[in-house]
Amino acid sequence: MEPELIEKYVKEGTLRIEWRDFPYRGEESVNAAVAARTAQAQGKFWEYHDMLYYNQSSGFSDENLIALAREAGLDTKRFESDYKSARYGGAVQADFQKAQNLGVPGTPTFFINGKVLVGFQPLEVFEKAIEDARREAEGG
Amino acid sequence: MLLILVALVAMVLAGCDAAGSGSSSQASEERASQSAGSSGQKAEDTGSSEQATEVRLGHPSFGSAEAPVVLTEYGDYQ
Repeated sequence: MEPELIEKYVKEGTLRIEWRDFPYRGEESVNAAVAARTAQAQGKFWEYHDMLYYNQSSGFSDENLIALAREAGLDTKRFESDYKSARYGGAVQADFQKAQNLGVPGTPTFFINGKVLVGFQPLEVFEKAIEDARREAEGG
Repeated sequence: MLLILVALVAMVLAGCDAAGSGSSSQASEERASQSAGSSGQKAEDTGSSEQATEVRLGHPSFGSAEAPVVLTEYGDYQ
C-alpha cells in the first residue's frame, strides 16, 4: 500500500486498511498466504508480508518460506510446525472463498467502503476514492 | 440407589464444566476480535501452538477501528 496513504489518512484516523488473501496462482501462492497467516499468529504478519513481496523472485518453496521466517525473527520451530500442519490455512481459504463470491477478478483488487478498484492505480485515484468515501460516510 | 444418585450428580457437574469452558472460550475469542482492531496501528490476532489444529485468525489490518473509510485489499504474493 502507498506510504502516502498511510501518512495522510491512516495516521489521522480516516482510513483503516485490511488485508485479504486471494491466492489464485497455484500452490506457491497458497503456501505464501498460509505462511503469512502463520507469521500473523506470532504478531509479525506485516513484516513477513513485506518480505514476501521483496523476495518474490526466489519463489515460495517450503524451505524459502521457513528461511524468511527465520530472517523475520519468528520462532522458527513453532512457525515450521504451524505452517506444515496448515494450522491457519482456514483463514486463507475463507478469504479466497469470499473473494470468489464477490467476483474478484485478480490482484490487487481493492474495495473502498464497498466500491471496487481493480489493479494498480495511481495515488490520485485512491485519494479521490477515499475522499469520496469519507464524504459519504459523513453524510455529505 | 446411592450409586445411581452419585453418578447423576457427577454427570450434572461434568456438564456444567463443559458449558463453562465453552463460554469462556467464546469470550476470549470476542476479546481477541475486539483488540485486533481497536487501536491505532497495525493489529493482528495471535494464536498459540498449543490450541486446536485449525485456529481462526482475524484479518490483518492497521488503522483505527473507528475509521470512517475501510480499504480492503485482496492480494496474492506471486
